[in-house]
Amino acid sequence: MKYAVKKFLMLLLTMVAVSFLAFAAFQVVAGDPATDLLGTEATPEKVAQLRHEMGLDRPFLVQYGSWLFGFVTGDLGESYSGGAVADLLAARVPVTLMLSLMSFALTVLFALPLGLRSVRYGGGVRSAVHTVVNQFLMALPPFFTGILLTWLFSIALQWFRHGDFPGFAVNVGGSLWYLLFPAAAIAIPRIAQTVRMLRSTLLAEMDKDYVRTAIARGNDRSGVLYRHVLKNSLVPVVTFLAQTMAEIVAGSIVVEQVFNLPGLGRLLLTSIGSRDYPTVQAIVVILAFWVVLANTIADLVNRCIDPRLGGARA
Amino acid sequence: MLEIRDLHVKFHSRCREAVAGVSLSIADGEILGLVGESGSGKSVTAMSVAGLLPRKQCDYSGDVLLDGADLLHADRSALRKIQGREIGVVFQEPQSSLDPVMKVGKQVEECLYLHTSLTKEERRARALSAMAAVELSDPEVLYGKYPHELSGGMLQRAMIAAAAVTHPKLLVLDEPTTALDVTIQSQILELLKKLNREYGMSMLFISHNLNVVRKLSSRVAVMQTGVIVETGVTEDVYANPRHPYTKKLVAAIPTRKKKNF
Amino acid sequence: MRRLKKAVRDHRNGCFLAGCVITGVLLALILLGAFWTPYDPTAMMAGPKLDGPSLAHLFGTDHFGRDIFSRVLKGAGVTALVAAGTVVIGGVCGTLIGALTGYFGGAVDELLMRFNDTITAFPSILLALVCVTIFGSGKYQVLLVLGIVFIPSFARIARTAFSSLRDANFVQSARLMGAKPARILFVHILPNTLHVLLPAVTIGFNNAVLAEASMSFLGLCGQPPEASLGALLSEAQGMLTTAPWYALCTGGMIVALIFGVGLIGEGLQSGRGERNA
Repeated sequence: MKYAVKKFLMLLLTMVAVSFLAFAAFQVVAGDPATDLLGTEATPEKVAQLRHEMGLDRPFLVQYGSWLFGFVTGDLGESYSGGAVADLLAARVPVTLMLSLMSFALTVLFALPLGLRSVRYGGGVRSAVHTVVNQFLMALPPFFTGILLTWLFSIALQWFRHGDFPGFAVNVGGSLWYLLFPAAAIAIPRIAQTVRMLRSTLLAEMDKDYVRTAIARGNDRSGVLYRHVLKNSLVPVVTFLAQTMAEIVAGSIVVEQVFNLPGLGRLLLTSIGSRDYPTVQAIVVILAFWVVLANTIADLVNRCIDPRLGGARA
Repeated sequence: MLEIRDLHVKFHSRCREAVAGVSLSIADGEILGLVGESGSGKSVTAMSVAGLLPRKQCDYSGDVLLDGADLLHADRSALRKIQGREIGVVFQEPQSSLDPVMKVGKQVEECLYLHTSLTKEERRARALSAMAAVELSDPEVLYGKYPHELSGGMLQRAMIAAAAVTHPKLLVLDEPTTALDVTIQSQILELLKKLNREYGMSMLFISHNLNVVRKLSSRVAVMQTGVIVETGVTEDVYANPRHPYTKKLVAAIPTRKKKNF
Repeated sequence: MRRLKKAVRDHRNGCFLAGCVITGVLLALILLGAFWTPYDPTAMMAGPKLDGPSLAHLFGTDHFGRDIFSRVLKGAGVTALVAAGTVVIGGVCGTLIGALTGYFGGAVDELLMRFNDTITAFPSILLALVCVTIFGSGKYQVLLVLGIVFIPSFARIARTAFSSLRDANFVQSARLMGAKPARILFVHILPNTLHVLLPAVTIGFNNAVLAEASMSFLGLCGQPPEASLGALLSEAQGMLTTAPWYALCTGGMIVALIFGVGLIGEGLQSGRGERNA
């Protein structure tokens, strides 16, 4: 429990650091939004007035503090294109969140059994085939797989209508069905990577002394694998899966474009295109928080798996 | 009870046979010490008895019979029924030989889980009494601990408890005291003697240390480069070694007399 | 280096060989494409419109009648150049930073690693996307941006490798013999970290190909005359119903690039496994 509290505090600290970094970076990137907003009408007096209205003439740390306070209380600032950033995001966060969670679920659901199975190919032809197929799947970029899936399931088989995402408000089931295809496109290379990682971890673990003990007690293959080796291999795998979460988020930015999904990635791209920095900043920070949160959860899960992680570090 | 006849083991990766024609026998309730330097084939002999030879990576021939049941050529599923139930094994490094993420108690009772139809509570009771039998204080507490929370000596006791919990006919001990402090070594030896006395368990005790073997075993076999060069009653072998290698080993034992101060 | 030679010599190491063959063929094609392509990649009406793959047009033509094979060769050149540049910048800077912080340790090391931890919270493509808004889009800008974005991951790997060897016996003895830090770092330690760094380079190259292709797919780099594979693929997506071979051939090229280098990396790593066994 003490550990969880400590981890939670670390999480908050990391989030502050991450948001500070993002805020500082955008201060540099954005230049002077007041001048930009006024465009050709910019006169020194008008700029100064607008800067004062926008609070841009305050010290840097004060600006950061008020931005962070706003962020925590749900006020993400005003988009340059008009309207509150929070409203822009509210409709899009569920799409990206669901897409990431579905790809993650697919990754775990397929990678764990496949990885456990792959341990049986000790060597020889089956192992070689496994390696090559795995490397090939790892080489499939999500946006290309997305196009292939569109071609196959939308144009040829007409299982879903590309570009016609119903939205959660209208049709939850239909939305989930639509999301399954982009989720698969993101998940396929991740599954291959996780299988590879799990396999090499399991094989390395199989050489340990305690495995010999387990065999000497009369365990069969699956007893050794499931009762002993699996749990011992999980810690690096869980850490790896948390990193996979970051890759899935990155993949979703691109894949949303392929499947015409109204998610954070699309909004990010249009905002970058129109230099709408408050929106970009908010999205960047939210995605980073998502990744940091995944890492923290992984740490907590690992601590439950491996008792050795507790006493020494907490 | 245990009968090894003309055992040969050769690993594919080596030119020389690791075990080149070993014949041994252990009677009921007997402790046989198997002594030799590292690489003499004593551990490979023990692994053959425990059914732990990596069969795909070596050629093997001969017989290893436990009360008539063949261990060397038996298929894996038959072997599994013997492993843990009729043969218990204790390895050298208790820290690495115990599963780091499984509670000690669960590991002690694993053989019961695999080989008996006892209920959870019965298994727990048996595990606790086995832990008490190896003189672990506070078995109730240790039952719920993880291996990294225990000292090496305690772990080796737990290891012995886990191997002995089913009261196997034979306990194979592969250098069980080598990784331990000298004081703990002698405690473990006393413990093994006690187990041998109380339960009549036979033991195959492997060590490179003649002194340790002397304290424990009634009969000793000396191995060198894959063959047994001398075997006999422990005291005789010590008092009157015949083979030159045994003589060297005995001469190398440090004694108080040799110290001149 | 020894491991590289062994991997080359070892004929059982099929992954490495197959990877070398695939990558070699692709490199040859890309080099060829830099100087000569069957048709002018930008010329309209080089052949009939929307023509499927044939001997005259290996990958077919698009809706302007442009030869897709020529376009893919040029595009692969851009992608490979950006990816290679990224790995060079990221690899050299990252290894240097990792080597120095790993070897000397201290407060700078702590600080940089904390910074590294914070930076890794941002997915690299996210960082790259944001950076492009500063530097502008274009292949050299993207190369620079990706190079910088890839520094932390190389630095982390190099740091771990170097700090684990910092107190190794052979390093201690070199130090006792009076070797200067620079010599210890690059003559003594560096060769012993290659088994970690070389696979990291192959993985980094693949990630760079993926990142470049993603970014150009999103239209953030490479203007139309210099379209890289990602931009071509995005164009091809619009013609999916009329010219599916366009997307297939372009995407196939990306997959082949990553697959080939991935196999090399796998071969390098399995060569290591066999040696240890």
